[in-house]
Amino acid sequence: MREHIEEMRRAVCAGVSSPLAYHMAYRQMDTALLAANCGIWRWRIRRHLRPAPFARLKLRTLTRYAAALDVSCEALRNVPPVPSHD
Amino acid sequence: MSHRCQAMTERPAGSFVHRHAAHCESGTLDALLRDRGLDLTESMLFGIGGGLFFLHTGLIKVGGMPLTSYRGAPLSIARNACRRLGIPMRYQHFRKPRDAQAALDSLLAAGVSVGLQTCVYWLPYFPDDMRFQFNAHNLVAVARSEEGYLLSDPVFEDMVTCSADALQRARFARGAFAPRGLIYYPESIPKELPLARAIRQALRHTCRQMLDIPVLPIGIRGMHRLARQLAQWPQKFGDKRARAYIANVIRMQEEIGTGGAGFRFMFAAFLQEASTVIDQPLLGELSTTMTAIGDQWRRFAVAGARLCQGADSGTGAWTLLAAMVEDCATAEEQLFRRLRAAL
Repeated sequence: MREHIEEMRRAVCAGVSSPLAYHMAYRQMDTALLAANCGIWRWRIRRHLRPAPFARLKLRTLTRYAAALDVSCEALRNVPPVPSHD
Repeated sequence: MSHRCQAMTERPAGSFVHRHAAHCESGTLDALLRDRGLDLTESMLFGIGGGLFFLHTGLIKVGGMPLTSYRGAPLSIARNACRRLGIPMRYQHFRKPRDAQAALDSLLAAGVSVGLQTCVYWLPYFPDDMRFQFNAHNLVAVARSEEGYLLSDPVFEDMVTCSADALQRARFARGAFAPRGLIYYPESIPKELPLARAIRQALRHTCRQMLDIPVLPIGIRGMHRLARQLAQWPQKFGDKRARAYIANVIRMQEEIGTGGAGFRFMFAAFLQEASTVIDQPLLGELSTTMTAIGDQWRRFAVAGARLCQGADSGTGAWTLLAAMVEDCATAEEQLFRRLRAAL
């Protein structure tokens, strides 16, 4: 589990994934569960896992993700610089 | 409010006794009933609820892992047990979190302890290693306190407190088995319980589930399917994923509130008690057999865990593991056939 989160964190730092991928992993969610919790379609979430489409998100969409993941919008745009162990 | 029922003042406030339980659902039900003056054991309720189950399809996946379930659908134990015992339970879902909280508060204010369905992940008192996304965790709300709610979570040693916000989130998590703010509590306790009849019904029900379900991989057939698939995992998915899968099976069996060996020990305890209630000594004998089968499952879990931790994992080890599941299946099949013959 921790391994997976750390892997996602590195992927975000390397520019392969968007911060959303990290926060989703951090909350132990998959796209289906996140979709149910924030009311955004799964295929859109999958798209938002890539950095470019994620960067173009409106504040409104971002807020929905933030609420479902229980983080602030600010935190959602970034990932912690070091591995977090809660 | 309409859901407030009349006979609610049987118990002096603050007399709730917390008890550590093996499984969250039967434990919650036990706590609710005990609080209203009906003292049955947890294993009795588990058995009467027809809690023993097995399912493995390999097709249904949860979090990327094939689902192996030793339990039935969430709340099926509570619903079945109460139906068989003739205890009227009140279940209520909510659309709006605010309504749900108001209903809970008014019940607690009236001195009623209330069963809640929650998501484990959002309950802050769980240690981080135990947090995972699972929507059908049951617990009892006992009182409203300054900091939030006083909860009696059957999988914990002591009572815990939880902030109102966190509880709201846990009650309204969405996804599979979404609780939708479910609250439940017994509306009244009948004077006499048809205990013997309920036990017979439950035993028949359990036999049917384990032996008779056609086509679907439920019961004994599910175990055989697990054994068959398990042997193929390393070739099919590679060593790493195969290990993750087996770890998942064992986690479901041993770690997640099952009372050990996927409820087998609890069912054995139930058989023991049932044998005195319906005066059927054979059940006592079968209880011993069930405990032995539980041990067998446990040995499977130990062997599987060793495999996960990277002990020798040639195909030999995997076929051995599959054989162990096969043995459990055969033993259980015999047991349930004998049980049925005895009824």
